[in-house]
Amino acid sequence: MHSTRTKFLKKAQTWINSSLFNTNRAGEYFEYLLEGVDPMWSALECKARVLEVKQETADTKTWVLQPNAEWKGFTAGQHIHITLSVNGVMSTRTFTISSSPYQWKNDGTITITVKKVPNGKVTGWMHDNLRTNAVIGISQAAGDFTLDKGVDSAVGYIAAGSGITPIMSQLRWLSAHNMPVPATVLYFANTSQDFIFGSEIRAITQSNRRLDSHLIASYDESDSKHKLPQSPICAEHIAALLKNKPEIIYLCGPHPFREIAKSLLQDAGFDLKCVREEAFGLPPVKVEAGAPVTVRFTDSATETTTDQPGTLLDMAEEAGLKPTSGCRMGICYTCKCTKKSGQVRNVVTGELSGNDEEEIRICVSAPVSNVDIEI
Amino acid sequence: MTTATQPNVEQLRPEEVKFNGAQGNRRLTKEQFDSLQKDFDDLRAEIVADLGQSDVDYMKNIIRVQRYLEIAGRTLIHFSFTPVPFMLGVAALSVSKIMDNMEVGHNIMHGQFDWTNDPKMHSKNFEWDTACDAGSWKRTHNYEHHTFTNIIGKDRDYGYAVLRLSDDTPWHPMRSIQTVYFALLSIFFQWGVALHELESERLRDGTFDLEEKKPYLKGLFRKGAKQVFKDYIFFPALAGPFFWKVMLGNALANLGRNLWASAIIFCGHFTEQAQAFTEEECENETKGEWYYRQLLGSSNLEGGKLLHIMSGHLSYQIEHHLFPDIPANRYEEMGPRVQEICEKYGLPYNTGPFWKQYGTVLQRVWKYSFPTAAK
Repeated sequence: MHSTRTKFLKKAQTWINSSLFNTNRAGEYFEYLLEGVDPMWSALECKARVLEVKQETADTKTWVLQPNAEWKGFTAGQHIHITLSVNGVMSTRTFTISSSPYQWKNDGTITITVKKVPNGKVTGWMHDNLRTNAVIGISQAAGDFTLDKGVDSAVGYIAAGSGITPIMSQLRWLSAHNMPVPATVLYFANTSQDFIFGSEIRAITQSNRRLDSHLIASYDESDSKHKLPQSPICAEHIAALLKNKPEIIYLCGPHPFREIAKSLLQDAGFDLKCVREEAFGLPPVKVEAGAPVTVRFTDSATETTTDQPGTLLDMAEEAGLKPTSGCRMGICYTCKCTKKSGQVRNVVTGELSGNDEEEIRICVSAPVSNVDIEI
Repeated sequence: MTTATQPNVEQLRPEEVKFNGAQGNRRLTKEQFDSLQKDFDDLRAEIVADLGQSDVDYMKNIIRVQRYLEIAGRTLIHFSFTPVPFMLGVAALSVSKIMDNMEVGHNIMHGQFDWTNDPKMHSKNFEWDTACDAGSWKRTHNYEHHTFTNIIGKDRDYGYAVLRLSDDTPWHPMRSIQTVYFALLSIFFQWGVALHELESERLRDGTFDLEEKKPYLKGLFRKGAKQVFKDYIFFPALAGPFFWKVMLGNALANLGRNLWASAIIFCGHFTEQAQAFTEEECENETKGEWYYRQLLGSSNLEGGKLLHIMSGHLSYQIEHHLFPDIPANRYEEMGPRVQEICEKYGLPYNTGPFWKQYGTVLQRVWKYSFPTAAK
């Protein structure tokens, strides 16, 4: 009875909003007005101001952000989506928070640490243009790449490159807690110049007996083509990590790196169920040789036929369409569209959809059969 | 002054001449059509490559002004006790509705700002302050009218199925009072637009029956009810004993918008110089020929910045028809370039001041209400 009433009230409210403001959410009508008065004001999302930008390594910077009062905090290891206007194009990307929750409690700031991706439109723009006092949109923190409540046994960390950021948040939190549990860190970077937070990790290691860290460079620092003998992750590194008998291993880095690390862990007899991964970036879309598929974008009276389908978002963009999109990795649901018919495969999980009408995220859906989609 | 560049008669070669309406414009050769296409495609590519933050800022500012005017207008109508503030309120609300319909809604629904990836200015989501629902508009206007512009029998915007504007349409006794229809259509323009997709003339001649129009009718009633609720129930009721005053104010604001919007839209395609086409002429049309038809079928209005904004840049109807999905604030800089291209091919660029152009529309409606000789 109660839920019927709430449902009815909600419906009535949506109807009134759509008649008065021509949008189901009244906030959308006022959003640009609020933004015009103060860019930190919003009826729809959290905002954060950039307080400081710090250079970490040659291609990595840290942005110190001050979220507005709507933001609810985070647990070490979680990520946020940030939304910014890159030459007029609203772009959303996901980054892990690199600072400790203590810092947020103390002075209300958090940091994100971002490596400039070669040819990356968004990270490139951030490195060149996202300066002090700029205001960006941020989401609430999410993700389970976090320490369990009441953790009481050893943990292990494996990071490559900018994959250190969520782990750094945890290390900073553990260090502020006087290292409640023993921890071992394996951190891989191209050269010794490329260790983000390298000196801080070394300093924490020196002052805490219970933290053991190994910073491993893959290349000679003078010449990035000359591989060092200890080069990328191998069984010896894993053995050093497992010496402390960690119960959980946190793994963050590029997709191929994580695959190698996991197979080495399995070889060393570690249960992969106890590995937690932060899976950023899409795995390469597997092309299955087969008959060509046709995708019809029904709202645009456009169609494409290909025997090498990518994601529906890529295909729509190649066809000259501009559907709304966000994180491009299946997290934010901005690109949700109605599939009228046809089967798609989730490129992250490999899961196959049904053939009927349903809402799908086009950034992680590749067509398996002919597909009709409302774009 | 109407400054239509007349074709150079000496350039005409008999086998290429194809006469069209009263103007008798030169039909170009295939090579010329291809080169015309390239010129327009190049101009388009140049502007698209230059789109950026300033275009987004422009649209956000227009939306802010529109919403401040709406809030000011409704407040003045609500609290005014003398005619002057009341009429100021009516004017503000009317201008707000004009801006919402023309510079904001019409342009956003063309997908001009889809590239910004901002859901609040994406064609998929935007709904406007008029009786016609966005979905129906996108079907009848974006698809039918912009694809089949001025093709008699296919472009139902040509005369809106109630006006005879060329000898290609046979005369009928009903047409003798079409000047009255014209006045009524102007006064109730928002409802005329909303009813457009009903295709009452095709219902009467039995092309299809009412059953097929059910989904459209559902949308029509849904949107129409919301508009009636807002302007004639909700805001009047808020004023309590002044119900009728607010209702009158809102009705006047809608009337002002209707008269202005209809005048601007009739000037777009029904001026003396604007040409009509037959279905046979447009069979197997190339992109170059499509550009040619858009160019010859449209007419511009000369005026200042205010006229351009208040007409939603339909004062640049020619540029809009050549490039319907380029942000309208760019048409002003494209105008001289389009004119250069017209001169290069000896094609007319039909433009003139508002009253002069509107005068030719009225003349045309009057002239074709009589049974003139068929061609």
